Amino acid sequence: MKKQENRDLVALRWATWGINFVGLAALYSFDPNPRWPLALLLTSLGFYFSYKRRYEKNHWIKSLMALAMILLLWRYLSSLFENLQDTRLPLAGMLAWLQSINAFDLPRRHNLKTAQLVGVILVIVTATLSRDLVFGFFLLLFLSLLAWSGHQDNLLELGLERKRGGVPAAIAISIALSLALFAVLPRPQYRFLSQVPMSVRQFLPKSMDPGVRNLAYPSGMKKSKKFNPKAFYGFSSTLDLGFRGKLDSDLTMRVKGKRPQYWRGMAYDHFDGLVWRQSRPNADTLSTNKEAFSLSSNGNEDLLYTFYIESNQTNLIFLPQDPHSLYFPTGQIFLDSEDGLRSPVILEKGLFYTVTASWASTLGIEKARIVLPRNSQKNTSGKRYLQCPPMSERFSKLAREIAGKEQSPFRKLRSIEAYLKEHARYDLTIPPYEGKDSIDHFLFVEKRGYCEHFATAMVLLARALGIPSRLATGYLPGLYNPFTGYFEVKTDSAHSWVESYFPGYGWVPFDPTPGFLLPEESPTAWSQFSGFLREVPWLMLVFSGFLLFSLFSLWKGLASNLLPSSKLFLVFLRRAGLRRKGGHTAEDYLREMEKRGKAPDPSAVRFIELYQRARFGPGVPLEDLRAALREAKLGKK
Amino acid sequence: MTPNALILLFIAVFALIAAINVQSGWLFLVGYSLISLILCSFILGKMRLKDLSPRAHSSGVSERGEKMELFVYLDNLRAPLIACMAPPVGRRARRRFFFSSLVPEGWTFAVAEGPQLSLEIETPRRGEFDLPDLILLSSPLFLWASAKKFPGRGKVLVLPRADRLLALPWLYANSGQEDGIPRHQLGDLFRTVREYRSGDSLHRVHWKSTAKRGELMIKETESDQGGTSVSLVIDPACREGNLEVVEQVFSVTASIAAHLHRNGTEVNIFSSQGEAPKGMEEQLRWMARMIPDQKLPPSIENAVLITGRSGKETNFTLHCGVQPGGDIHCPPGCDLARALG
Repeated sequence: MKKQENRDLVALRWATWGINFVGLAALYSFDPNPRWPLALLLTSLGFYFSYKRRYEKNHWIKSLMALAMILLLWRYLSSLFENLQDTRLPLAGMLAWLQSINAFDLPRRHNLKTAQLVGVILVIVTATLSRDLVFGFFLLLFLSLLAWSGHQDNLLELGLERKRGGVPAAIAISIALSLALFAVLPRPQYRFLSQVPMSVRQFLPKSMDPGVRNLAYPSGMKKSKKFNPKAFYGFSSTLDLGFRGKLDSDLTMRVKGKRPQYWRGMAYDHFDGLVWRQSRPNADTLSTNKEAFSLSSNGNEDLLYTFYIESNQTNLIFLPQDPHSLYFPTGQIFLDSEDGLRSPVILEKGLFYTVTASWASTLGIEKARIVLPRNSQKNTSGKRYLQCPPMSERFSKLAREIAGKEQSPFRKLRSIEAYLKEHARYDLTIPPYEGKDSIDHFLFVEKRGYCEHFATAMVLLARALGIPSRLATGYLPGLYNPFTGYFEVKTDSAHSWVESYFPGYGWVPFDPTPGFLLPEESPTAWSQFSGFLREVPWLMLVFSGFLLFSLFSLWKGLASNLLPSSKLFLVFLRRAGLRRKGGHTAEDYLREMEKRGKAPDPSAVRFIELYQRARFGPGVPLEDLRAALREAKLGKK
Repeated sequence: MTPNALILLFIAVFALIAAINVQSGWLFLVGYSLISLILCSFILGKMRLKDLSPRAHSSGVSERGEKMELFVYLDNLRAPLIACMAPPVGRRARRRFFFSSLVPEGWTFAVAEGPQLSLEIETPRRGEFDLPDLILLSSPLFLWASAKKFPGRGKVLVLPRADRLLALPWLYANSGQEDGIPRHQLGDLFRTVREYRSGDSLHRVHWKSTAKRGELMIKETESDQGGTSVSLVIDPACREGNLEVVEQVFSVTASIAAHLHRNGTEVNIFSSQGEAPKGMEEQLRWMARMIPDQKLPPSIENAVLITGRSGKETNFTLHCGVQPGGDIHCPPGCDLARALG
């Protein structure tokens, strides 16, 4: 009679259920939708049911499952068409329900393996969705369960029921190893699929205001004289240098992309001594029936940035340098006179859009001559990027002094940038100053200030030297989180910098604020990883813990666990100048001694005899063996 | 690498390709984690097997088909779940394992609980062999099975299987009264009864059993075993690829010899390769070492023959294949019974 297969597999069932639990819980943490707990409940019921009926044939259950799977496929395809921009959530939903159905028929070990596979794919889909560190906790749980499941499999294979097998050590070593690989190996970017993430298309109101809107200053900067830490006052129709205050450090947006950049919001061309504004506040309307707005046709679209809005602030569409195409969820947007883009609606939390961009080369820019930008010539004043408020004589003198004998405009700008970085201090605690000579005051009296003071000073110095320039506002790249792959941009990452015009190159950014550098090269994986750890010290502690535990486990694993008699035997070999060899018997070593041309001393032979009796039979006290070792006359000491 | 590891590796590669496409750090980490699990299994497996130098001891003699106990001594057992395995005696150990299972079919394995463990290895073939190689295996997380082979040292002698026979009536059936030796002189020691067969003398009817059963029953005595000296001639020839038949010949010979020895009959065993020494154990060892020829003369197939009888001596030739005919009685279920059909 054929022996009935053991289908209890209790530990393996728990491990499989755990892997599915982790997948669904991780999904719930990203998307708090009741369907995930419901799927988990159904999966748990399924596991219980399949355990109870593990020895039954369950034909009727299999038929019902097949029917449910057909319905699920139909539901998945329809949800796919509803959300073609991002197919990850429908896929996750399909997998979750598939697992719930599948859980009702898991009688054998290989069925449980299939269920684990679905759980693993669920975790992978969640990994692509996750935008924060919470997923790390789920990944840790997932790895632990996977290791435990492997251990259970090993026990089943060896015909054992319960036995410890160093699973915690294996988990610690795996995590330490994976983090080491993650920290060191480069993370290349290559787009195999052309799908770009973008929110679902929004319906627009009939009348739309093309102006800049900032929720922290709903009635505009002129009326709201009070500083609001919730949003940067530079995202407005005017930028007042008299404003003082420290911005909150709330998360504003996350940007997914490989190369760090300054995220540009808007720019100003006219300065009256205290307030920046756009001399041409009107904006053109850009419409598209296609997927994307075309912004430029120069260069290659080799960079891809996706912006995820995390807090409602403005209607400015933030862009990297040299954008090509914008995938934005409205059919219309506005383009202002300073190349800033505005959305007809406020960018609300949850909205996301994608921009493709190229990395412009500045090779040869040092030899570029200055010509006024084309759109400035439309201005009746003719030279609006050279406009300056009345400045003091010492200011003009300073501009000439900084420029020195430099002929190249680019080098002149670099000199100004270096001068400001060296001679003034970035300080957010300066007292208010509302005079029309604010830059003169900043350069010669205060010598410290906000980023907009530095940027304004550089624009004015550049303009004084005849270089068309303007002041740009936006956000710093933010902290790159290597785990999520997102730059985390906070409210206090708001920043001002300078853009100067070079024919053939366009507007080139400069940043004169001390402590801030425009990113030029792609950072390495290690620099991104270590930079993030420096900013998140608790994470460093966690990783150090894993590293130490894994090292301890390895050390413990390699530590010798010899029997006392074997230890004495090793001492014997060492003293005899023999190397230990696998599979050699004690007599083999004696023969080896003989081969050296000298017969072993009877005391050595006696030790070997005693050792063999102690090791392979009862009756020789360890003390006798020690004494025999002491007495053994060997060739080498 | 186990099937689990292959599946995980496939998923890890898929995750890394997807991570390159979507630039998800978590996805990179998931891919690296899965690869790390496999690497960890590899590292731990190798680490656990490091410096383990097992020694194996056995009694050195076993009977074919019986399990032989092999004692394994491990010097430096650091970690649990070290499996020690060995192939059947006479079969070579390979370091490559079957993909679907850690332990190849027919192998014996045990998990090391301490510095000493015992393995009961199979002895499917008669003969003199080297002690089987030992393979130590560690497969933490069942992802990578690290194995280390240690050559077996020493010899193992697998004796032919000797089944316990109940009687050998063909000795009597063929000799009848023709040998002229009175039954009582051979020391008629009553052994058992059996059904009447054509040719049986009526003097041997066991009337009590006959009355009880209602049919003629014949007495069997110790002297029915034949003469006081029996010569067994083995023809160790065999058809190519039919080694099992030769093994059965040896089993039959060993069983008969053992039966006769137990009854005090002198047994002589001969073959084309010489004569076996006297004594049961020596004869078994002699038979264990005998290497069968590869050619079989067709005329002597399926024969168990009494080839001669003189005085107290009876000569038998045991050829390849034994004609089933109920001439050898053995307990049901034993190998010999199967061999005899």
